[in-house]
Amino acid sequence: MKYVLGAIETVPLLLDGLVTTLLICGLAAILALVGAVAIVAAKRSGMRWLVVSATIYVTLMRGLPIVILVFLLYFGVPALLDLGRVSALWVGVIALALNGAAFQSEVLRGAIARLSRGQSEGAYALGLSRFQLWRLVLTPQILPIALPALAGEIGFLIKASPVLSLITVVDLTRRAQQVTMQTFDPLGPLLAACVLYFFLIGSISWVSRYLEARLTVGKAR
Amino acid sequence: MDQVAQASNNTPPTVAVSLHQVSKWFGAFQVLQNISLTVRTGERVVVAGPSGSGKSTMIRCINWLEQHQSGQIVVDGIELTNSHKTIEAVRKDVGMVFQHFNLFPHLTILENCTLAPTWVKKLSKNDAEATAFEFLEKVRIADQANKFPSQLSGGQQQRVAIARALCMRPKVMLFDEPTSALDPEMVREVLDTMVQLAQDGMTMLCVTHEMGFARQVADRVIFMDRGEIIEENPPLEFFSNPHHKRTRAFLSQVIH
Repeated sequence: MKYVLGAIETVPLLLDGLVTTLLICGLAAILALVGAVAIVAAKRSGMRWLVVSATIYVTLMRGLPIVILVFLLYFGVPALLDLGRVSALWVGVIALALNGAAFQSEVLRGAIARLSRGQSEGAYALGLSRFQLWRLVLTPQILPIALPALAGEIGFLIKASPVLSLITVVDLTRRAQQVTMQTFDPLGPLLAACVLYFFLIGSISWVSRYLEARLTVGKAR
Repeated sequence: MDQVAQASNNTPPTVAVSLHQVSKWFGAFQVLQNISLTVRTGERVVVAGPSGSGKSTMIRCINWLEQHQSGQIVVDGIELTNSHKTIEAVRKDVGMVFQHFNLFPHLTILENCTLAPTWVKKLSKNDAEATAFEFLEKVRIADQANKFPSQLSGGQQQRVAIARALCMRPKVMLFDEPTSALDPEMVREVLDTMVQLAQDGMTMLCVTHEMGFARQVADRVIFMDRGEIIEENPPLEFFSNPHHKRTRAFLSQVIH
């Protein structure tokens, strides 16, 4: 009985950590998508230096362990630029966004490659502008193709986020550790955190499947 | 150009499309060599020739899907230059039908037909749908308006593509091998639609291997080989008395 009461008392702490994890990952996922669109646009710009920079960026990000990126941004960059103490939470958001943008851009690139060239020609021949082509013809076709993989990338972001507890971000993982230290229970808080992570990631793939079904309605290929 | 002068005087040009000394290269390879061609309003011109002869490239230059590198192309009084305004103006006046239909798979047949009229011509939804049904009736496919392209046969999809182009009320229609990707039993329905369009007086420029169609509707047949127009005659003369030996060789291969 005492054990159960003790466990219930720790729930608000864990939920507080969950909110921080959600906030960081939500912001990072949105920024990553914006970045990914920019990277794809750069790669398709035809301007040599933009294409080369975008390619180098993606290669670097894909080859860099995320812990190293986080340490570089939290310890390295502030020291280099003499910034003093920086916000661990924002460093976390930026690190996950920088990393996510590279991976999400590859997802978008793959989805775009699956569309036929005829779609652009058909739209241009009807007099649509480049902007209208992307808005009305290409994006609605890219989204359902890219969604499952994008959801997977967001899942990766969430699973990478505990690394931020190493730079003092009090996320779900850090809270679970704090509860462990308070209660001397090495198992319960971690298991609770497991369940929360599991449902968080599960709900993302559930939402993506729902959206995918809605977006593809009526047009079996 | 005299066509430009005519347009500025507000008299409708009787020349729909004119190409003057048009050349184009893909790298070092010259695909079009000094092509000159005039299509008058209401005229039906069929372009024939072996694959790789530049036929498709030529008609794709007319709506700037490909860019010519020298010479002049004038469409309905507007000379094609590398300016968005000109290109969009020309594309509004020129409809195109492709070998692979290029319908938008995420939109219904009706939405395929109303997309450009609502976004490019700023027609109201009602007007655009009325126009769409007018042309879907014409190609005899209005009963499929709420289906998606993938639910239709190839021949039906190509007829929708023709209707979609007509919904912009173009002054010229370009056809780029419209029956080449179709199963044999579907070629007829698409050709019938094109014949009907010709009878309605549409200005048409068709790249096709359908010599029966050329015989039936063309005012002129143009034969291209290696990027050049080497023969240009009314169908009767073209088929019964081909002048050039490459034309004779081609005709002996396509007509059995």
